[in-house]
Amino acid sequence: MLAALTKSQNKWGFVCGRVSVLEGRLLPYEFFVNLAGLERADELFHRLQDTSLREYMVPGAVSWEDWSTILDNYVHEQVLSLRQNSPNRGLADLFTLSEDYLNLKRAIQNRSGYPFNMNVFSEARLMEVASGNASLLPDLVRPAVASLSGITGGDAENQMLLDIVLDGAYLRHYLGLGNHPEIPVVRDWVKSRVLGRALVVLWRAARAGHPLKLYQQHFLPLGEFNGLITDLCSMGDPRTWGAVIPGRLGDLWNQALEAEEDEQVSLFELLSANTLTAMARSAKLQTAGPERLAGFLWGLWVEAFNLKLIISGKLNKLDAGLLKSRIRDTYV
Amino acid sequence: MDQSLAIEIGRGLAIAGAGLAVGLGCCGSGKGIGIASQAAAGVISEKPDLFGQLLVMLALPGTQGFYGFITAIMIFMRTGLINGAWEASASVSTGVALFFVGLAVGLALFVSAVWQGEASAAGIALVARRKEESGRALLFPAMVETYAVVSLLAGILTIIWLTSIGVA
Repeated sequence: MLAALTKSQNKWGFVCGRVSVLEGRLLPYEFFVNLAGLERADELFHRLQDTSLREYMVPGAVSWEDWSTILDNYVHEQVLSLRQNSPNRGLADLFTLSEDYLNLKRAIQNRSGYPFNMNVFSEARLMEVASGNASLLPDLVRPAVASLSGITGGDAENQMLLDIVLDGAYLRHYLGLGNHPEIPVVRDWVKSRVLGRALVVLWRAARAGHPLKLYQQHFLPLGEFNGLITDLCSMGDPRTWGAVIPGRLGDLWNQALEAEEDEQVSLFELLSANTLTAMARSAKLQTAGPERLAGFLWGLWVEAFNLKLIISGKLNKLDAGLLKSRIRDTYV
Repeated sequence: MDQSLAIEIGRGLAIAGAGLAVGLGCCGSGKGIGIASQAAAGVISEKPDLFGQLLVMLALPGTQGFYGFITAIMIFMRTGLINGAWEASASVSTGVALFFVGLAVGLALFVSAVWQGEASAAGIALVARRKEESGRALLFPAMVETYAVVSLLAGILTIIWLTSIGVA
């Protein structure tokens, strides 16, 4: 059962007024299906000039790197702009956190420059981390990063360990940012997203033959999911996990298992993202409130995902049918 | 009870009722306009050309303040406060009745103004996405206005009847 939307949140009126306009600029599902059906990539770029993405497009952008940067900037600038008008800034941080963690990973690896957009971790903090001082990081993340001292991801094993620790820290941080008992819709949505991401991480690890015991040691703690993840790690075979995964995600897991083996993980990602979008859509019923902002930002995130999927697919000349099957449900 | 004391008490209660009507009405209007203004400001920051369409919806919750003012003026006029004929409301019971008329009208105006602000904010969100729906969007807060008008009319009629009895 869905939690109720919060009421009398008039302090969110301004930012939700902006969201009302920006929602009207989100692209519908049919637009992506049409884009995926285009023959040539340059037709696609031409079509995108008629969207709100136009303001972010730069002349001569043809490579995947160019478009990835354009789309990242498109999302990041809107999130930051809405964040400034938002009474609760942590909500917007949910949608910039992944880029922050990509920068953090570079800092831990002591690599120069932080090319991803920054929000939660400033450049000064990242430079401190790069110099071995993790004390400026939030409490939720600091122990994990401190445990990585001396590990810079050199060999494959260290690289794997770094990824496990940072994936866990990211999800823990995400869970912390979304832990708002006073906004039950957002809290439940964040929990579903974190569990979905954790399951994908574990599934990919199991398929790659990585020892799941490492995940028990370095991926956790993850709040109320500790017990579940420990159980899954000890069960080993992902085909048996559907019986213990609770709620809707358990059903989606079993549904994904019915697909061909190579498609299972990506199908689960698609189904769980669509479930999150369906949850987020309830926020459109709210005139002013935090759920409305969070719902829109998820819609923006899905839009950027779909655009990246189609642009990379077209640049790599992937089959239109395959692209269409992977387009995620849109917020509008 | 002494006749002059009865007049004083009745007058005091009637004036307090008038104060409540205008005070609650204005408080509601302020809150209602505040709610609608926040939403409108957000929309206008993205689409400045919508200002004209949104202005009416912004102004609608302001009418309750005027209705409260009209109610207060009616009480002042019918009790003789304005023209100095204080005897018009020469009983405690009329004063008590006018006090509750003012309170009831004020509460109705306050609540309707706040909800009208919410309805206006919802209408503003609709216009932000569909400019062509501005006519229909205006209907939602206008429906709320109906009940503010009903409370004003009921208040005016009650004031007239009560003070007519008082004069008789």
